[in-house]
Amino acid sequence: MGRIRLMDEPLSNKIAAGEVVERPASVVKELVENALDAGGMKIEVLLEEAGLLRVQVIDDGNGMDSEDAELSFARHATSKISNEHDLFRIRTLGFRGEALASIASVSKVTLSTSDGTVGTRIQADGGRITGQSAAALRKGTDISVEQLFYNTPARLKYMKTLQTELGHIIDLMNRFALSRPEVAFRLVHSGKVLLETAGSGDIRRVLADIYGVQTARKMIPFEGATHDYRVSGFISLPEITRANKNYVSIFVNGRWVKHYAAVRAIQKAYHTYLPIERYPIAVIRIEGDPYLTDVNVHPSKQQIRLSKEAELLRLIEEAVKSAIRNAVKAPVIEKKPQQRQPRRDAQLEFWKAASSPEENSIPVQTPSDKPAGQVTGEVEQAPPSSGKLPSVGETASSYPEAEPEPVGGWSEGDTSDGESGELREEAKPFPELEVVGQVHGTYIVAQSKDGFYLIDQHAAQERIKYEFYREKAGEVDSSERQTLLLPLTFHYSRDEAYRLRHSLDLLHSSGVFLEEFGDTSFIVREHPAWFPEGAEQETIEGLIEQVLTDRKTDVKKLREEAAIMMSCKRSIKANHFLQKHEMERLLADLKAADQPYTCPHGRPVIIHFTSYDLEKMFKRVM
Amino acid sequence: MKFEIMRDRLLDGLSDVMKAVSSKTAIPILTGVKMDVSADGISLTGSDSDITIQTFIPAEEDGKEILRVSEGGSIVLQARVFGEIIRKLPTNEVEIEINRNFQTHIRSGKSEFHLIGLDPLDYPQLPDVQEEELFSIPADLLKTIIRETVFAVSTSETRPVLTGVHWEVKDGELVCVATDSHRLARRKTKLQSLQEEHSAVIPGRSLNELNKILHDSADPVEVVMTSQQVLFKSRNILFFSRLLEGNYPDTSRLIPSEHKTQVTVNGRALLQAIDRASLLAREERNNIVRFTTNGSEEVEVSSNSPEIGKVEEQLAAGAIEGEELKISFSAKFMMDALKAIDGQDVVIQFTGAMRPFILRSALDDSILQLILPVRTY
Ligand SMILES: Nc1ncnc2c1ncn2[C@@H]1O[C@H](COP(=O)(O)OP(=O)(O)O)[C@@H](O)[C@H]1O
Ligand SMILES: [Mg+2]
Repeated sequence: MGRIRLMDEPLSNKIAAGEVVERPASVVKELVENALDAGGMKIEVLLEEAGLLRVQVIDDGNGMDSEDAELSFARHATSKISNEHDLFRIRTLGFRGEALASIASVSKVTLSTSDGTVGTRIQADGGRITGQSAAALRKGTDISVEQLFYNTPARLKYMKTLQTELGHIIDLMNRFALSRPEVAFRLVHSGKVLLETAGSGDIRRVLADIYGVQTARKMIPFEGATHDYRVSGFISLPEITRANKNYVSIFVNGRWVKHYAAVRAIQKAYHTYLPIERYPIAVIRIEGDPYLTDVNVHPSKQQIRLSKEAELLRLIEEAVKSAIRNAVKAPVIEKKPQQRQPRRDAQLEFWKAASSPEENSIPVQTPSDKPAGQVTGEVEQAPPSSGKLPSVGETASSYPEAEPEPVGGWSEGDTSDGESGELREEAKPFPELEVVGQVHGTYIVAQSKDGFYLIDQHAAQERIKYEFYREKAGEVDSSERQTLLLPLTFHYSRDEAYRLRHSLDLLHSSGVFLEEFGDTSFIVREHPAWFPEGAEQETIEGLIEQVLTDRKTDVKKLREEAAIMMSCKRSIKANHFLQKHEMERLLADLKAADQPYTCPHGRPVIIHFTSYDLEKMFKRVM
Repeated sequence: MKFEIMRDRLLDGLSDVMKAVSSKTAIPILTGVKMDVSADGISLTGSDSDITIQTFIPAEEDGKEILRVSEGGSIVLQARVFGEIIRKLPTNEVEIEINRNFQTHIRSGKSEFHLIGLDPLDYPQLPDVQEEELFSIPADLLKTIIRETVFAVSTSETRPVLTGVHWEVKDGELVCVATDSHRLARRKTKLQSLQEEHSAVIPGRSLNELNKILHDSADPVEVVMTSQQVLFKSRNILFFSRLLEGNYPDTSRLIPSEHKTQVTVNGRALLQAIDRASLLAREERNNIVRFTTNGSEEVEVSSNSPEIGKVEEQLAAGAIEGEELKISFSAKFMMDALKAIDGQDVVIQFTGAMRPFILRSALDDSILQLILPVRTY
């Protein structure tokens, strides 16, 4: 009986704010989108306390007149769409008309705006307008959002450290800068400039501003088009990889979106060039009729529904693939200036006789032409995790119970798996193995009373070395440090550098003394003496990435990571032929390992074919 | 095309150019060797596009006939197979004939091979190096220079320019420098009649291959450089290498000019002592050994691995001047440096336990080796 009541506006806005305004970065996102929609070419974002105390966004866009300025605080007030039809033709970043209202409901806002003819200033507190006056005539908008979540303490409690919140904002601003290279962005936190782009229109320059010149130089352009879509952008050479897909930025009609399938398409394009579980740095710009790209999926406007998605994914994959292939393989043909006459001496006569009439000369390759990742890439894909034997596929599938299985604890994880019905005690001692031979320079074949075994030699050695280095890294003895004549340098993006600066202690504890060197670079003057020679840079990069990717990482994890890297670097690769005594030695070492059955990456080391399996395969028993 | 040739000579030439042929190449035709036959002789070319080697087998040498050409021409043959065939032929005379479609017949004694060749027009042309020679240097000296520096190049691709040896020609002198940042090797060589200035970074791998091909003789080797290529010309060999791009760091300011401790010691004796000490230093710790001065006439070399054991050895020094010193370093780097200085008395100059130190021959100034110590606290 009259209990249902329409909510008053500030309350419903506060509820909506829950969806739109999650954290300071969401405020920045909405305000910068508005600035871009208003045609701003110079956009400045000023922060205090990672935006929780204040976010101020200043643009030089079209501004608003007094009436619109007041209306802009109302829910569902937008100048960007006027009817249902427009919803399918969205070219602006905003369209829901709820951002300002939502933000205002959970903070204190001061808006100064001018369309060039009038200047208006409006103040609002918790969503209620508390003051309105005239303001300066500078065309553009200057909006300050203060004391975010001051009236929703529950939300405030959810905020992570200032560092984390600031990290999100830097990340976001980086994407804006990449999506709109023609706009000059500036991000300032407590007086410190965290990002500044020139607005030159050149994505490569933006990449340099964000990731550093070194990295930007190793980014290659790509493009492609179908009837419906045009894709273009930059991707990193295979030598530059990252541990997560955060470095892949996808923009659809200028809007940064999350699109997992597109990331996968890019990964597929790199194929063997990319080591397992590594991602490139990439900027992918997709343009197509707004009719095909539905962004009205979630209030955050970050998800997108794409029509003709399969076609688009194929386009991306092909465009990226051919760019990589060209960059990695294409030899640089030296131009041959034919002006000078060869000298006439005996040597040259012989030279002339030798040269063919063709105009092309011996191609010259840059060092990056040999993708170092290729070999390891193959190795990493080599062990089939199912333990199936492809060459006897047919026989095996008609006798599924006869499939060989990884030995020991590897199948521990899926004990519920009904298929492995056979008895396999967990704590079975490592079998006494006799070496029979080697297959493809990759697997060792061995036998014992109860059947035969295939051992992945690389995985086996990784396990052995891993246990060694895990202990090594655990000894606090990173105190023996090799000094360096030329320091190693490391370049990171601004937000990475920012986070890294807060993790230096952690790295110190594993013997890596990173020193700041400019805004986004670091140097290392000495490294633990046990780092493998020639792999010092990668080892340190690996540790840094561990710190950057896993915010909760600790010394122990870091050391484990170092141990894994060490073991991988120092292990024999596949396609390496071993002498019999080398194989015997390897198996003896493996037997002595704590966990001989899996490599540090969790893949199987050894697969057992029982005598019974063999008999079944050959239909000697039924 | 048709000719007869002494098998041994063909084999020698082939084994030289094969050093440039790699089975793993993105350009299939480079798995082959190119053979160009004219009345004067045969030239063989092999390349992996970083290194290109061309050897010339003259038709006649010292009045002796090596080759009889009935008809000239060119062909590209699969290097590995062709090399193996020539090596295993039954007699020392080989006849090679190419028909149309690059069908190749190789006859020797009673055996006859048919090989399918490739079109020589598809083979890339030699790098364009037409500059004047920069200088000329005896082959054995060139080999020495390479041996004394190339071992110190970096094996890591993270700074590609460090995988090469920096050659700088200036003031009538050739200065070669290699460093992997853990140690540095520098060799200076006076050159005659040299006005030009030039500097280039030559890949370490190229120099290693060049060293294998050159003979230990005083025959001159001409060195020609362009901005992208270096060419070494000896009597019957042209050796081209791509140069590394990028600026080589200025290392001269990193070499200390003063010292606080100076030790003079027999190089060979020290090398052997370090070698023994490193037996107990573990590879995983990059073989760290400790070096301590003991009064003014003795040094101690020691190593200690808790899990294995320890070793100490006293060594008589010719002279020890200056402050007392305890320093640790990689046994491997020290042994490499001592081997490059080659047995003579060595002067080692230190500026403290954490500073780079240098080694020189007591007899001449041309070689300098620098090593970065290991911090142990
Ligand atoms: N920086 C700005 N410059 C000009 N107009 C603005 C600016 N910010 C907001 N507006 C106006 O306020 C309206 C409401 O903004 P908002 O709540 O973010 O909704 P939306 O962007 O979805 O339209 C916009 O449609 C626009 O007309
Ligand atoms: Mg908006």
